[in-house]
Amino acid sequence: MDFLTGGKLGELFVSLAFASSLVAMVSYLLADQREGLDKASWEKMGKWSFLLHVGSVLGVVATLFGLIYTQQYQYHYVWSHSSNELPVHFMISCFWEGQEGSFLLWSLWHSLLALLIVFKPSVWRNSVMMIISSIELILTSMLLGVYVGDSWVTGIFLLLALLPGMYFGYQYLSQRGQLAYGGNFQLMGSLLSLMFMIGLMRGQLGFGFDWLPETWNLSGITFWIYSWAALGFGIFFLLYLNRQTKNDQINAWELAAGVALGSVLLLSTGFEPSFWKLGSTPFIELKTVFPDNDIYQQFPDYVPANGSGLNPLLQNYWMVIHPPTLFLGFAATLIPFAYVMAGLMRKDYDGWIKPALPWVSFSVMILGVGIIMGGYWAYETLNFGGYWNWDPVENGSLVPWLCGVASLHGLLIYRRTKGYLKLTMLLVIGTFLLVLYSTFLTRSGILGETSVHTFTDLGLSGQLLLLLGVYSVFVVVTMWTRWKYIPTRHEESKVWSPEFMLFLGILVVSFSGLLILLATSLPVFNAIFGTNVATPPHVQFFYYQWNVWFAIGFGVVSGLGQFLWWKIKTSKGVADALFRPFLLSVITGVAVLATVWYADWDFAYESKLAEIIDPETVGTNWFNKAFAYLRFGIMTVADEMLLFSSLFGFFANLDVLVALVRKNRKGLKVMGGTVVHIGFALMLLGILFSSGYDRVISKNLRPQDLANFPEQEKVDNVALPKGLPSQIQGYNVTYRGRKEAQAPISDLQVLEESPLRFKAAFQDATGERFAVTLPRAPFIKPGTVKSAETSAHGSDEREDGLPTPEGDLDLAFLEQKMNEDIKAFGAELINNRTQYGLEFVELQDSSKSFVLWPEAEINEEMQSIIAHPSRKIYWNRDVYVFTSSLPDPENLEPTYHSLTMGIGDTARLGELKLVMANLGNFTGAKGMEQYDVAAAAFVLAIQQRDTFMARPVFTIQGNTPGMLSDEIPELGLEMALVSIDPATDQVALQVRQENPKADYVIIKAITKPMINLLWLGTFILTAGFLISIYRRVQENKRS
Amino acid sequence: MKTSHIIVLIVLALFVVGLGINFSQSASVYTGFSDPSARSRQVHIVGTWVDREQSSYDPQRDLFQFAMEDTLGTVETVLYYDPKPTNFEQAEKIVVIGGYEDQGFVAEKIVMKCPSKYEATDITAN
Repeated sequence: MDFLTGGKLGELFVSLAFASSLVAMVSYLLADQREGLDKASWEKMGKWSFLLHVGSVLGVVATLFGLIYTQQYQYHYVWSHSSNELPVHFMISCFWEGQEGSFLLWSLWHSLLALLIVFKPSVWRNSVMMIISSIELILTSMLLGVYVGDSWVTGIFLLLALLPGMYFGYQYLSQRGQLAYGGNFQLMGSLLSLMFMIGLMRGQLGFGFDWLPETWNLSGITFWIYSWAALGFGIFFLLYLNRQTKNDQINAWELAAGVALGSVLLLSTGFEPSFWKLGSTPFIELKTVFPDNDIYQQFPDYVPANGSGLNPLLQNYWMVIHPPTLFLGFAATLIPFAYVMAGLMRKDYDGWIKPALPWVSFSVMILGVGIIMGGYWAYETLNFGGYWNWDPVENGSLVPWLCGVASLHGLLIYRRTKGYLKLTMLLVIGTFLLVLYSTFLTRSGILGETSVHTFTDLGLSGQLLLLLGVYSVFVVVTMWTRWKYIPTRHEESKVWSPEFMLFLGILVVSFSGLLILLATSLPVFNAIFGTNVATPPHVQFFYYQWNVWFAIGFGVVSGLGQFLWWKIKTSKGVADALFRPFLLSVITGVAVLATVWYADWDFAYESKLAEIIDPETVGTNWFNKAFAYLRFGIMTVADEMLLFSSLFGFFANLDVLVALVRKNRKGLKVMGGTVVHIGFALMLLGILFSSGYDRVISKNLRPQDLANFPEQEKVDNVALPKGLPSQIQGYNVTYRGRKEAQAPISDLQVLEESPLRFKAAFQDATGERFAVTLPRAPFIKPGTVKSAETSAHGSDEREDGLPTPEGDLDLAFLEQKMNEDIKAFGAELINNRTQYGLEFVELQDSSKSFVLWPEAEINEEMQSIIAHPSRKIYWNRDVYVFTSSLPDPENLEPTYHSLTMGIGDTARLGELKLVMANLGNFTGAKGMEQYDVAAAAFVLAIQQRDTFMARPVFTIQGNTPGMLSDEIPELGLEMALVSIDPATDQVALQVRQENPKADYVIIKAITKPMINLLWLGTFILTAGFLISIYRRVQENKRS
Repeated sequence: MKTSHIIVLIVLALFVVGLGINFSQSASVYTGFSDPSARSRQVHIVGTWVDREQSSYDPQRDLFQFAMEDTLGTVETVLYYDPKPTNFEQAEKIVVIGGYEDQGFVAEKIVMKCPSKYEATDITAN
């Protein structure tokens, strides 16, 4: 039963998932179109095939995880994303390191979310499920990994040939009223198509039927038979589906479904092995990917002993939860989209709003949380010094979020005033299309040089483009045909009205999204128009100078909007009620500005702002000059305006919150939106301070060093030699050395064993986990030795001959030895990490000190060093430190010298001078009694003005010569006297030299004021969303 | 014409004009060292690291210098006021973003295209 093992089982599940989503789509479509018994029967069919789909997707996930868990490195996906060292919780991360896995994750969320709809009876269910199934059909097709057709062109021609045939066949048969109805027949037809699909999809070439006997192998004419059988089946199925439609009417939906079914069947058969690849399967075998590798010529069944491992950046706990959260957010945008499309198809233009509203809130909340988690991960793990880098991948998740926020506000306006329906629909649809678009951007490889962390093209970009294109066309056509029927409110909104404020809010958010979208899409424009435009050189400033205005708009509009929405006013009206938050924000803002001014903080973009009016770039043209000064003027006050407006947003929403709670107990339930706005205002304040007023504090503070430098040469990194304190802004910082394991150890476990060596992990006294690789022989438990006796427990058991390390490891003995001298084992932090201890002492109060441990990770596979920052968190700021450069590890290795010297000779080792001063006979001297002969060399080591002496001793005991080496720790020297030639008094010296200056780190340290406001704001925002989702779900339940 | 339509049009107009001006002034292009526009504005230059042993980092000045050959074959010394980026050795292609200043070509940012793990091209027996 080969086809039921591992990868084959996975492929079977993929095919099932694909085929069942197709059946579900068609069934739900028909259920939506038909009436009565027929409808019920199709509904049942749709439900069961969708459940089969969910089960199959779960099956794919389980199979893939099983392969990763059991380390089946014969599979390419497992080999490229996992390794023996990987802990189980990071195995989950393998799912999103590879593209296939991330499509799988996306599909999984869709399936699970859709279950909530499948089981809830509603008039919307069938059409919504139809849309969801169609997306699932395309997503699972991305995982098929089958080769179809010999080219696109053939496929298209065949489709074209198919259309008229289907049309006329349909016309003919439907007029004759043929093909009788029978519920079971319907079911059977669908199941047949399912079986057929699975059969055709299997094997590398799309027609493999691997499990059939050799002689059955399909080739040549057999193909054609299968191809045409598939085509025939498609046509038959179409006609069958249309059997009940009235003679004079063509049902376009059903025709389209028939065409789709027929063509998928046809394409899936293929005629020539392999030109067009449909999807990319995570179950492909390694030898299929590298067929020409020598190793497969020699050993066709070769399976690598270890995988190539997971990207170390993904080996972080945030990376276990951030991608699934983000994908859940993406997946959740499908459901409101499906509702809108269902509404358009059913010509029910506003009934969808009620069921869709909680989903919109949910998707916006989850997506927002996912984005922030990504930012927090970047802040904690990457060393670019921030939480947001305006990387296209980040923007790709932000733009749909902004659009989702806008759509949420649109829904709220419509619920209250029945206005702006078309806009709202467009925004809901746009959110989902933007998710597709950002998937296309990050997976197609089109971003090229602009992004450092996108997936490379797996040959799926055509398919992704098709997906995006098909859905865009579908949306445009549907919107176009229904546009004039969508109700519009003709009465004009007053400017001073809540719905108008919400509309302004939508504008602010959508234009911010539009700007980010356009700037991120530059590589796409370059690809389309053949242009060569790069993103602005200072990306941060570019996005700042635009988005700051949208952020200012948010503060003002959210404050005013909330007041108007809840009709909060005093006896003198709304304006009077607004006076309090206005006054509070002015007072607080002025106080903050005074503090900033007093502390003499520079705004991050000050130099960029100065460039705007730099005479060289502005020129002499009066218009350019005026424009430059205007721009400079408004940009200079932008950050202050942002401060005031965010504070206003905060205080105004706080006021509303207090008023709501005071008014009645229901206030608690409806306050969700207000809380969300408070959270967002806090986030903006956190962003303004942590990014606008962050400062590099690792400035070199020795002015004499800087005197000769041109002014623009900033020195932002300091070199810290080991043990030598350096002064940076606010602190004295000393590099104390790399982290080493501390005895006593605990939790000793064997990670890996080979016949000769083993790798063990343990926890040291400080709670860090270390690993050590050791030979087996010395640590075998006595009594378990199988062949030649070998043990470390005493020489009495040892016999002559090579030690063979068979037997059980004696961990208790190892632990005892480690506790005796942990340093001798050279244990390293698990995952090749090295931690550098930096002791910070506050300049103002030297009793306050702390130690930070930034990490660097040396990945031998990738031959790279990755620095991870470390932080000291104060209530009002973070001190953020990372190693920006490390010494070449080779320089840290000691060098060895063999010298032959006579008395009075001098040898030079770089800067160091060694002088052989004298020889002394120590035989019988104190401490040397046990030796028959003992002689010492007196060696002077001179470096600059310092002179040290070492006294290595050469001994003879019986017939055995021995050495007692001597050290000069200040110079990193160790010397041994190897031999003495009594005739010439020449001695042979062995010198081990470590460069004490070689151990240093170069660090960068940054303070980020008020960054905690950002995280606090995120929590408040999420809480607000939870309150409002709860309220909407309760409302929907009641009605 | 509704007020909302007017506002949308005004915002849209401001947006388009602003973006146009912004891009005509500050957008950069992918080019080479010999391009005269690199003297007056910031540019993106794609190339490779050459004469590797010539590169140096001076921790006192916090300055990393290296030679880079752009896609047109021009070789230029690039000054970067930061330590050598990690993984610099592994980069197949580098993109420097910067322009000419008094001292020479100063890179504000260096982007590296490293052979990604996803592109593992072959297996080695172990």
